[in-house]
Amino acid sequence: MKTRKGYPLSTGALLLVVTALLGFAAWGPGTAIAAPVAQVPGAAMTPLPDAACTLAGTTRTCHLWALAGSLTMPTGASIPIWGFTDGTDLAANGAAQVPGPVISANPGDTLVIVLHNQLAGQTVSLHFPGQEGLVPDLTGVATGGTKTYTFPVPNSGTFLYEAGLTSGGSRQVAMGLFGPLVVADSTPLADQEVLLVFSEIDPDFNANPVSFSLLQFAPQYWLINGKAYPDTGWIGVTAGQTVLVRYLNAGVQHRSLGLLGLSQSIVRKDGAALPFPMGAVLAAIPPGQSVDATVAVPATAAQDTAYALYDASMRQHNNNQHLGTKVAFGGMLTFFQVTTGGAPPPDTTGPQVAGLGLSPNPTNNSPVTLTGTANDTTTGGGTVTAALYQIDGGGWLPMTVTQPPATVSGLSASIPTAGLAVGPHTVEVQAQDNAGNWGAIVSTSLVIDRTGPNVSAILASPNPTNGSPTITLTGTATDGSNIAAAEWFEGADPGAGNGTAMAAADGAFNSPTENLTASVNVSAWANGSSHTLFVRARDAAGNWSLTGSVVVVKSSDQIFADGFESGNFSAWSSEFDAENDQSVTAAAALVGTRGMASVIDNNTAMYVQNNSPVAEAQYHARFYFDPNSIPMANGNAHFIFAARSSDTNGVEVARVEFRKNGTTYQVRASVRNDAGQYINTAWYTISDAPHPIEIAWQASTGPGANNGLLRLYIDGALKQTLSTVDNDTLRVEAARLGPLAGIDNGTRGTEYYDAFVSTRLNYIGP
Amino acid sequence: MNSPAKLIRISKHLTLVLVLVLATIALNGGKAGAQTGTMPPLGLVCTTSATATFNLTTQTGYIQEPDGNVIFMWGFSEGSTPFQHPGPVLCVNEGDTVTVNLTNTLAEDVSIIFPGQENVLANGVLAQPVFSGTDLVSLAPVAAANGGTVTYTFAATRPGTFIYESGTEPAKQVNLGLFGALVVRPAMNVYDAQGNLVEAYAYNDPDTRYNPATEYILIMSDIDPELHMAVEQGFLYNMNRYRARYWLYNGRSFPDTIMSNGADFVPNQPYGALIYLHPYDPVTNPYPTLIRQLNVGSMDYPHHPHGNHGRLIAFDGHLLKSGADDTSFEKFTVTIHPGQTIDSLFGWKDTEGWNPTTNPIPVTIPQLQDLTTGNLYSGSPYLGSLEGLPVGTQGLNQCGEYYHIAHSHALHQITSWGMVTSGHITFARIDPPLPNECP
Repeated sequence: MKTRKGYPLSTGALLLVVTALLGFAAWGPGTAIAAPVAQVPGAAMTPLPDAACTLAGTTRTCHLWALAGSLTMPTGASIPIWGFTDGTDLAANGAAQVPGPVISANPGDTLVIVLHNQLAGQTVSLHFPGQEGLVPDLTGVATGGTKTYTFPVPNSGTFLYEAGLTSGGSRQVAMGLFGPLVVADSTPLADQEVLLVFSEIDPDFNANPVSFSLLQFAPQYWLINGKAYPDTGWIGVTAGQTVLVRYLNAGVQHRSLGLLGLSQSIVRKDGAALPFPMGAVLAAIPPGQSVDATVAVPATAAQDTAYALYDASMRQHNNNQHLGTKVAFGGMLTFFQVTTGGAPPPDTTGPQVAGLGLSPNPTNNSPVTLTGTANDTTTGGGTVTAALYQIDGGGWLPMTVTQPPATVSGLSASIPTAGLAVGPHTVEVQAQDNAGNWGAIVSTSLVIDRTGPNVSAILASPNPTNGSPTITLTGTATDGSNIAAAEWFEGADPGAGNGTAMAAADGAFNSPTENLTASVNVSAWANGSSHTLFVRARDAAGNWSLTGSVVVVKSSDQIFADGFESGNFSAWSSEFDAENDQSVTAAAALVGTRGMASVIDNNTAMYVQNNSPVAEAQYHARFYFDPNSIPMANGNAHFIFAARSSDTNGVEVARVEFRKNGTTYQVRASVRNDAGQYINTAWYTISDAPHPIEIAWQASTGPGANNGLLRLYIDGALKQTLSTVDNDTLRVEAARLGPLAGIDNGTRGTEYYDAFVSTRLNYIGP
Repeated sequence: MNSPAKLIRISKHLTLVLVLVLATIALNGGKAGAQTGTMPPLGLVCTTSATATFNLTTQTGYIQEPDGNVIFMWGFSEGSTPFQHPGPVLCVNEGDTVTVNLTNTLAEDVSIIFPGQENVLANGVLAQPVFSGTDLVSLAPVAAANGGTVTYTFAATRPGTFIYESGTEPAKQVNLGLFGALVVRPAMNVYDAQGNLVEAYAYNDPDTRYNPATEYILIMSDIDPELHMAVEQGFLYNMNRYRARYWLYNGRSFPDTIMSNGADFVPNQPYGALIYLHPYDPVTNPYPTLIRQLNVGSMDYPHHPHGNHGRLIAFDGHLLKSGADDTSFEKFTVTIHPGQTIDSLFGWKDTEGWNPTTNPIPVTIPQLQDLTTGNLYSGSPYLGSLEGLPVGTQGLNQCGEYYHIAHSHALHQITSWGMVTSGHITFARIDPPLPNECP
């Protein structure tokens, strides 16, 4: 900032006049507001320098030199400009300024402005919009020349001076040949004044001001007092004072300046006082216009409070400058920053208590730790000094304040519970700040629970185990408090807490009723043995339940097996062999030393039957089969195995068929659905040799589920799966093995069968 | 007021576009779009809260423009409702402590500034600009990217119409749609036992009384679709290239502006902008329409309602009164600056009282075959009369009502990326005095 010369009057400078405190902002809802934590970075706004003028009587003489120069933008770009500087001696007054120096006057002064044109190739005149008594200068002065303008300034207000009405005038203004003319008020309108002159820069124009097409003029920098944010700096204000903001638009675009968090009162436009001040948040300034507005800074505004004064069109950037991927704030933006804060509002509210915790809760006996925080940040910004708690209104007891003195502090206390009755208790907490205010009472609930849960519905599945290596042990625990844990054990009680943990079926122990589950490995148990499994649960208060139990019987998965090693069919439930064509022989042995030989000498069927299955929803059967080179005509086929729905009558729920196809033997499997239709696998070729053949059958789990299936394995390899079968009504009750139906005339010879095994759950294999 | 002859000329402005759209305008209600619940077909749609607590969530979505373009947007929605544009109009009462819980689902920080509100708190402390080192990163504390939250509270001490908008990277985020309106109703309002507004005032001043059945809002904005496309596709947009292509009232461009609130073919743009009123009558319709106008765009909008001047009663929630002196004024083109809100009282008064028999219009009405009419024309210059239209004209007038255009008088703003008769246009519908034959 240059030293001011001449008449001791400053409007460009931030003028502080101590007058009455004006204006009180409405505070928030009964709460004190803490001070902001940080200042706006950077320096305070540099006021525009006053022009050096000489005063004789009321005649004020100022010199303006039109010069070429440059401005540096926040992007680092150096922009050529034309600007004014002041003084009688050009060498002493230095560089061109944008905006030009502030011409400050008092109402009634006569201004004598001496223009010195130092711009090469430009004829320059001066134009003083809003001033009367001047003949518009249409001729100007050529490079190196001087011209004097003399006129009275009777009216207070904020005005523009700018390059005038020569042919290059519009380009000269856009290049920066403009400045403020401030005629002071005889009585200041506010405690402080700030002058903000707006202009824009299109760098392409500034690089080529003479021949650039103004049709293409598109600003990329938006300037306050010749600077774009963040170079604008902040405006220091004082709590409780008023600020007169003189807005002056020397650009070509409309300006719309919002003041975030404050209101403005527009008192003057173009130097003409409004008969009635107009309240607004926004100051709208068309090109060429000046708007004077007063702003009341709240008396209670805290030190460093910042109010953004921003271009409300949100065109807040400097030539598309980015910070990373974000558009960097730029353009017309500054802040009112409170450099002298008001007295903080008195702290009349106590700290807020929050985050109360009781551990353990519920509890059965042990002392309980009460914790929480007290926070005075939004209730006056004092420090937490004390806290109390009470149970069921039984009298306040002290708590420990863990971080005194602090605005936010932890609280803690140990609560003895021995004398408390079973059931819920109200625990209340309040805290005090250093101003002596007690805050609102906050409560939580402590539950004393000395009774353990009930456990019920202890079940194991499958039970009997049917050969499953693991079973699922389930039960239900209920309590007044949440269930916290559960366990099981077998045999002697290891003591509460020493069993094997069970899980909550819903994944978390978090409610007063929990379904319990555990997987129990039964693979080591002896077939046929019985085992009693005990279950118990613990509630959140630490009470264990009595045990509930279930008896689990270990059983094999196998339903029936016979390899004919006994030499006869006695293991089977029955043998159908009307013509005595079927026998156990050593020649038929496919596994071990004996097998079943079925001699086909006519079309009469024969088979052995096992009735061991009982309403099986899953059924596996495996047997060995050897075509034994049986002569068959091409296409001859008959059934060699069937799983049936009844020991006596019933239907075949699954079956295996054998045929000759050309020169090869083939087998396939079929499954019956509820509509009585058979769904077949493809035919699979087998060689003329012993083969293990296995089917796995499963009933659909219910009407509409349609998830029944049949698998066919040959030689231990899965050949095909028939799935999505609607067979929920069918169960396996019996099985038949042998050439049991469908023998054709072209089929005569002996087939060998051996090593039959059936199971419920598990694949059998070769 | 326009003469009837002017009306005919206005009608000529209504191009064929109207044939497609006016069949559905009528006042037959609409389905709720992005907002839950049912929505009145016309007028200001308030989002209210018994505790003046609003849960705004940032959402992304798309809006439709009449030229067929679909534009990617960001927006604020209440609670878990889907994306809408603009954000909900938050209506509170003077003296309320307003709480806005912002949840940010976007991948970058978002904040809200409340121009015109004082002592806004963020998470309990005074909302202040946020700096990272020396870099300004936000004008207010943010809800962090990807699920962050922040709670703003302030006392609604001043009745009026206000903007809320993002204060974080506003050059981009506001244009993307992160804005909405806040209406603070004055303590002077009188409600009946059911909570219905029976005496409605814009401010605590008897001169600001209006008909609560005719309260409207016009949230004005502009869009450069290339900025939106760049954000959608993850490119950096050159802010120097900003060029508005669409101009919107309440998030819609004409002719969508005159469709019902909640019109289901613009499901994310729930707010219509049709002004619907009856002629002034000292007994049955003594109070005017209140129109709340907000500019959240990047440029001035010279809004020009035909049919009558609006009376400007407040700027930025500041009533135009100075003591007992009423400083409100009439204006036929209301230039609204960026960031500004202007409340207007708007009425329509049948001052001439033209009547085909007792007070005929003293001009020769042209022969039917000499007329070119728009589809909204009743066939008669007399309010309440339905007459024949030229052969081949599809008439959409229901009961002899008038339609007056209200539009931006910067005529490039009544386009949608070059498609004319779009953008900043809406209508005022004036029905014949009650009782009438209107549906």
